[in-house]
Amino acid sequence: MDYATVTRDHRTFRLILRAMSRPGEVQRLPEFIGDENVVVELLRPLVDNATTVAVLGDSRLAEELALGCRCPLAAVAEADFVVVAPGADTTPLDRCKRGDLLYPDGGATLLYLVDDLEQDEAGTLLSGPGIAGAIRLRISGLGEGELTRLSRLNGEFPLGVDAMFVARRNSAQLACIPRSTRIGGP
Amino acid sequence: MSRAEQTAPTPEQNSPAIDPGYPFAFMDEGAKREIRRALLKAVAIPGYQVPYGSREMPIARGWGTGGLQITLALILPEDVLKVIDQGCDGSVNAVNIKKFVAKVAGVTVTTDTREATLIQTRHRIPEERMTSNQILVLQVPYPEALREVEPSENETRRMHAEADYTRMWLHLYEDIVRYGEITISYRYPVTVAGRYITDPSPIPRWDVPKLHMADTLFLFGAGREKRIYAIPPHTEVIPLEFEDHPFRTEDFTGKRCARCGSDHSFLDEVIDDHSGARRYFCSDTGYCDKRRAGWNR
Repeated sequence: MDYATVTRDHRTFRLILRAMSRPGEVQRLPEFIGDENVVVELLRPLVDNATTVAVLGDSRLAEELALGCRCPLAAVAEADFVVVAPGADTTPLDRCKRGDLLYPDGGATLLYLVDDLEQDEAGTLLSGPGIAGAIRLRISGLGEGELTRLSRLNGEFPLGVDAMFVARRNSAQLACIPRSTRIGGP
Repeated sequence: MSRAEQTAPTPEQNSPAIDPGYPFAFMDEGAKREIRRALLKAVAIPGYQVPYGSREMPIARGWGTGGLQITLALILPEDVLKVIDQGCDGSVNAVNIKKFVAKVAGVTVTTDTREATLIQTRHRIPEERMTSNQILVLQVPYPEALREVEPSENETRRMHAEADYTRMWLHLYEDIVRYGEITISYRYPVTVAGRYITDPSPIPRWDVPKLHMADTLFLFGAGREKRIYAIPPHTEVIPLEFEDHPFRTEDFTGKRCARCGSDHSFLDEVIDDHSGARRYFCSDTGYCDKRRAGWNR
């Protein structure tokens, strides 16, 4: 990989790390991440032939990802990373990996493509590690009941999944809800 | 974050351009990706030790390779890097790591905590409060807090899985029975976010409260033991204690740094070989230097 791509990956990862360690805080992604390449750019610092990826609801994106990141595709139940395209049927997510008590880090990482992310009074209340008190995050374009599903998947800490949300309206934005975050009221 | 421009550049700050013989940040991309995945899981499960494939580094294992690998996996060319070894910016280990990272990533280096965006440290947390825009990477020799009471990795893993920490508590209780208080001076075990008992690395007790509800992200790397773990900002970090034997930090009442006069920093005791007199110095040399230069007087 050339210098430009390598440093781009460093830059992207730094933002992902910030978003994951400060749940609910919306991060503006760098300008080189446009509408077309957002999923490949976001996952390239993280995935390669050592990890499996599943894509729900967009077979073309799955191919792009397999080519762009050289990662093998897998069924949702086996995948380390699961990308959820807008409007996809998300019922298979109930079967995704949540790790086990000995190795909870085996839980999957989810990447939801949504319309918009906003720190907003009308947003969902989030609290837990990484959040000073509580924070409100409004996610537009996320299927109804998805946050309830996340709460359910993460109901047995330390088992669970860690979710990233990327919005492409205006400029690309990122926010995360790891398994340690309490979704909804305290 | 104020960059180095305001101050006159010292030879050290004029970091050499990236050595063309190395890829950016030295490691291969596959290694970095594995470390990054471990870091994200570590942040998502505060205090849990994520296993990872620790790589060979151009320094020996046990000399900060865990911290170095984390630093290299996330560094940016515009980062301002500070490396400290037991509070000291000038020790051989710290200087070598700093030079190496500057060579392979082209970063600016500093000794000023406030100026740094990324700090790699061995066995101390800086005296000055760190901000939300900084990351502290801690080098860890023994990541397993339960190793004192259980030699088997399989067994400590089970204990963490079941949150079965009775033997740790018993260990502390026996300490009190024998000596009247908990005698652990560094590597003081903490409970992170109410779940995992975690080794905060060999920082003195003095630094343990700085982990609690901090603004900064703390990343821990144990290269030889192949573990990565994290304490996110705004996370509860509670040292193990009993109601009648509360945790306490080192007591420096009546003592001052012989160099800068500080009566509120962690002090190293130095005994003069000839006179036998005891003198105290700030362990955080960057902080001490800054006070000497007239900062905040």
